[in-house]
Amino acid sequence: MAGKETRAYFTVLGDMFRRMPGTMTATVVMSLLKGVTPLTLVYVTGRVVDAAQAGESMESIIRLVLAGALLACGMTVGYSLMERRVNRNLEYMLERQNGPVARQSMTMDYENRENPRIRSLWTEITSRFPRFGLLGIEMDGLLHLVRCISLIAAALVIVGPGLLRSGRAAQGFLGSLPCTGLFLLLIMGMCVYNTRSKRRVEKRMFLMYDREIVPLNMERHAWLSLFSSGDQQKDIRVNGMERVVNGAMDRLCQAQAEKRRKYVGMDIRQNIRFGVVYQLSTVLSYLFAGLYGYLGVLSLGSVISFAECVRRIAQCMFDLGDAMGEMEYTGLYAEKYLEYMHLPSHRTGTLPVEKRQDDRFSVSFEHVSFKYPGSEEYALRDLNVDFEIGEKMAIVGRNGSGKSTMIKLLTRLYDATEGIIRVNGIDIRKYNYQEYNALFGVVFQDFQLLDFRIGEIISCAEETEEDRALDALDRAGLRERFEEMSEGLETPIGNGFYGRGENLSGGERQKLAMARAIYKNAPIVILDEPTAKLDPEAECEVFEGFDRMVGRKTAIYISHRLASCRFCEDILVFNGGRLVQRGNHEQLAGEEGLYREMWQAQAQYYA
Amino acid sequence: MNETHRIVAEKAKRKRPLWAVVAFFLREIRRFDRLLFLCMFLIPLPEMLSGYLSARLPSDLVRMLEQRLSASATFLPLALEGLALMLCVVAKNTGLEYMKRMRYFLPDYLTDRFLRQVQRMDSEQVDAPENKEMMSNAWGSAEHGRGFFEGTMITSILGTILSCLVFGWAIGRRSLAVLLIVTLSVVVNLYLLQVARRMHKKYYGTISQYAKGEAYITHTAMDPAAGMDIRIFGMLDFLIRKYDQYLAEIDQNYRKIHTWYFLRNLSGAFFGLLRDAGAYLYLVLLMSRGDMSVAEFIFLFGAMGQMAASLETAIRLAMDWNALEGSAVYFQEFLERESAWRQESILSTAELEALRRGLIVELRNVSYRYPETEKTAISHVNLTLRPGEKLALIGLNGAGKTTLVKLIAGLISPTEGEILISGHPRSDFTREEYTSLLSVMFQDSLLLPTDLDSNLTAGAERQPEKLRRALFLAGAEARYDTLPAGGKTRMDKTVHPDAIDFSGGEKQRFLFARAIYREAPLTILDEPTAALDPLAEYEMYQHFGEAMAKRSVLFISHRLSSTRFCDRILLMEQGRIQEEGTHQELLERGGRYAQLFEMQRRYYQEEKEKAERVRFMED
Repeated sequence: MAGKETRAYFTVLGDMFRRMPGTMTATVVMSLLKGVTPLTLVYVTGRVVDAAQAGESMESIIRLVLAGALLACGMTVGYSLMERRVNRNLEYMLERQNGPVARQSMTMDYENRENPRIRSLWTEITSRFPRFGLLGIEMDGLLHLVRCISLIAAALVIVGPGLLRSGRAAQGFLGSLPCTGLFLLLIMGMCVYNTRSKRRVEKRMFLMYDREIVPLNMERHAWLSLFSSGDQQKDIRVNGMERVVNGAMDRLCQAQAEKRRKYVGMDIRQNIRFGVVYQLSTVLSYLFAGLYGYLGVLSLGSVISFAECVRRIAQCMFDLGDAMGEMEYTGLYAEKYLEYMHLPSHRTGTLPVEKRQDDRFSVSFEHVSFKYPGSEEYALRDLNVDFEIGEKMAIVGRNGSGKSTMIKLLTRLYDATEGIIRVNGIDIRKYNYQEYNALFGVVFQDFQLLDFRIGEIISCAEETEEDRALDALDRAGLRERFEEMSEGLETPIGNGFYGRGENLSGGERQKLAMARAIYKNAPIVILDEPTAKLDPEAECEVFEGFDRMVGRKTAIYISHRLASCRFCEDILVFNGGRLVQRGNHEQLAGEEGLYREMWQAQAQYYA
Repeated sequence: MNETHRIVAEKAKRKRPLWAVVAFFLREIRRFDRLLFLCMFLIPLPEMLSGYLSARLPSDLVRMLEQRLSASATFLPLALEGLALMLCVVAKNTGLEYMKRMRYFLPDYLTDRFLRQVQRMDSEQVDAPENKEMMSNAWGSAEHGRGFFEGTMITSILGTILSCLVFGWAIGRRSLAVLLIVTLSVVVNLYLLQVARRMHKKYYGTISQYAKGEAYITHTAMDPAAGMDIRIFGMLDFLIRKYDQYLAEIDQNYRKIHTWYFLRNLSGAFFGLLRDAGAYLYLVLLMSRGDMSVAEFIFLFGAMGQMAASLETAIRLAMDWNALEGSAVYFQEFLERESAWRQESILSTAELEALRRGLIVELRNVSYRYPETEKTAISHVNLTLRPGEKLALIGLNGAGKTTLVKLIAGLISPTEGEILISGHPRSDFTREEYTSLLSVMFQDSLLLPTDLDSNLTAGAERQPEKLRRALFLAGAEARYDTLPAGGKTRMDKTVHPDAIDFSGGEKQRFLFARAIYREAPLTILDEPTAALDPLAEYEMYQHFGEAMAKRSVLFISHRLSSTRFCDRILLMEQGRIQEEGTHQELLERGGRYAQLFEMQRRYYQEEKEKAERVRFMED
């Protein structure tokens, strides 16, 4: 058996035992019972037939039957109890699995998201086993495994003694132990043949699935996500893009149907072959048992028990083969799961950040260069800049000039490819990551507001300090709109699962994001295109109230609206990943350069 | 239009008979895969036969041994019987295996059906609050095949009916008492089944809501944009706690459901045992009195077991009908939603051609109220947009601009008043005809995960000159030329590793190029330069006239600098048009527009002028 995959499989299984000991124990007990219970009937039947043949009294037979019934009863109760727990947990195994996965997604190094391999790991883990998840499949596999083993063990216990006895008492070859042994070996051989070739075919099938079907699924997924928001549907509709969408979906469907046929075809062919071998072994068991009965080696009752038991053992052997094949395949995904959950982190700093009441923080970039992962070009080149406490700084430049990149490096979403960034003189890589993040209140250009209640959105926690939240809303210019909300801070936003929430316009969402940043009360405030979606009045409010909003904190303001530069003391101009100009507005407007060009491009319309 | 929607919605709410649900389900399976459909009906026979033969084989074996026949007379018929059994079982298992594999692909088919239907439906229907539950359940069952998986096993019921008939006859022929015992135990089981059914239905909806919440968190956790905010704002613990909270809720609900299942299973098992023990004892009695041979005993007991097992299966399957009914009903309802637009064209080609050359958009006393809130978004708006006219729409957030755009784009219909295109009401158009007259660039428009050219030409045949011109006028030519794969560049990195991730500004320029290429007589641009830097914005304005020549344009922007090259400006406030005129006219009027313009302008002034203006504003 392939080592790595099996080891991964069992590692994950062991993990599950640690996390949900009760449920996993229930699984084991349940499958033990499942394996053994059917055999009670076989055993009792065999004994009853023998007893009847031997002419035993009715009472003893009845006692026998009742004993069997009681045993089966007890097992059934136990089984049902366990089943209840197991099935209940299985129902939402996928959700249970995805909790820790989500946690990992949120804590791992940010740049991992851009890594296509890691993204595909995530997609596979979360979508390969849609109903029960990887963990559910493993649980299911365990069920089969234990059931088969327990059944085989129980069956051997039932037939073993009888065979041994008659084997010893037999004369001649037929009916002797070697003969029985040979027969069992034959059956075993058929099982092993089946198991091995089946596993080979299954492996081929699984690989085919991964190589040919999964990419198509991923492409489908990309198209499917378009429909997750009604807004995107509207866009498609009014721009006549349906043709493109339908064309792509048609193509995908066809390709998928083709692959499906191939895949299932492989399966059916091998299935028939193995089915025949398996059924043959069943028929042989009966014939062999019959032979022994014919020769008088086994009593009538034992013939029945023997035939039944061997049949079930063979069945289990085949199921076991199936289970092991599935284990190997599941192990492949278990490997991916383990890899994803144990991704190494580069955010290993441990220094606590100085807590300062006076918000005296200084930032410096020393020869910092940066390339996005997977990109050939430098997004930032040899950046050298210092700025200090309480300063309002604007960063301007053309699209793609490195403005947002600088912020992402400063907030340590990415680590610089070259150079050092220092805060208060210390390399930021040395700081503890969570503490470092606490320094910043940011409104990114592509910020996201989660579909929760407005209080939760602002405070990013279950509890919201009411005064603090109201103040933040006030300063962000959202107070009036907030007053309209019927449930106050409990009002849900968006169309999430709280049902109908308040629908906010683009501008209102931007203000809410600002409120969130204000609430955090972090010493360094960064606003990336904060007025892009705001109307003139709201934009004016932000410009006017910027001081009020930001207070004495260090603030960095990125915008295309050069008007914002008028109230910043320091302006950095970027072009092509480099810092090309620095100064205040009067200086930069006075000299020839990119700044003046951009300024005039905007100002001329207001002349 | 709203009236139609209401009627259509009511029709769907009527309860459906079970047979209609099953018929629908079978039709869908047949569409998905013919062979699967066939398997569903062909399997019952070999299933029944294998059951019968597996009861006969051990019984015949014992009989032959008892009768002490010759070897050939014993083993030959047994071997034949064994072979027959083998063939039946292989046939059955192959069929079942095929079904199992194909079932796995059902979600692909179902989600496809779902998405095509979403496309067919009107925007209004998709957003309507009364459709929300239906759609989310339909989606739930499409995505996970819930209900449909279970449904494919329905035809096993046919097999069990066959088995019951055969075994019933075999048993009843010999001993009516045993038959009665078996039947009785099944009746009791059926009753318990009913109870379990009710419970499942009750909790299903709640669970799917929470599951959806979990899925939302899982996906948001991996979303690149959300990821930044999650880290900076330390939302990790909060989200994880929420997740755990939902998990707990799901657990609670499942606990209730499974308690009922447990009670049902337990009672069923007890009755089963009672039945087995009772019948067993009865048969043993007969056997010991010599009224029954061992072989018969084996067979009858086996038959009884088979029959009981078949019935058990039938009961479990019937329980799954629950899931099927629950899911399929929503799905069926969903698929039956019809678009409220006209289906057949009444406009001639000539008329449409004329419209494409130029059209007049008229809004007569249009009002709109969103269905969920009672808030009026637009009131009594009167507006005429002439062919080739460039109209700027200004207003604060929430003034109603987006609503107006949606109304003109045909995505929603007015609650009062009407919208006419060159005198034609909306009901004169099919949806395709109407949208062919439009091109809209929303704030959150997107590029589809296919190649760039398809995005730009909307899947139509690529006309190189036209495309080049569109790219040039949109300021996207330079970027287009630097792409190594040119127009074949793909958009989605998750699917194609060498896809390109365009920046916001680049995307906006390509989207503008798309709008130019489309050459629709009515173009709506909502903040088309929001992501552009000052120089790129300037470039776009420079080419705007040429790009939008001869077209009617509705231009929405917060940057009042851009309104200067529009023919007319409309200022909206609180759902009404407050001011209308050219830029000069409105400045001279000194109203709201002038005020807003001044707000933006003053930052671009010199200090001296600024001081003067500030004094002016304060007066």
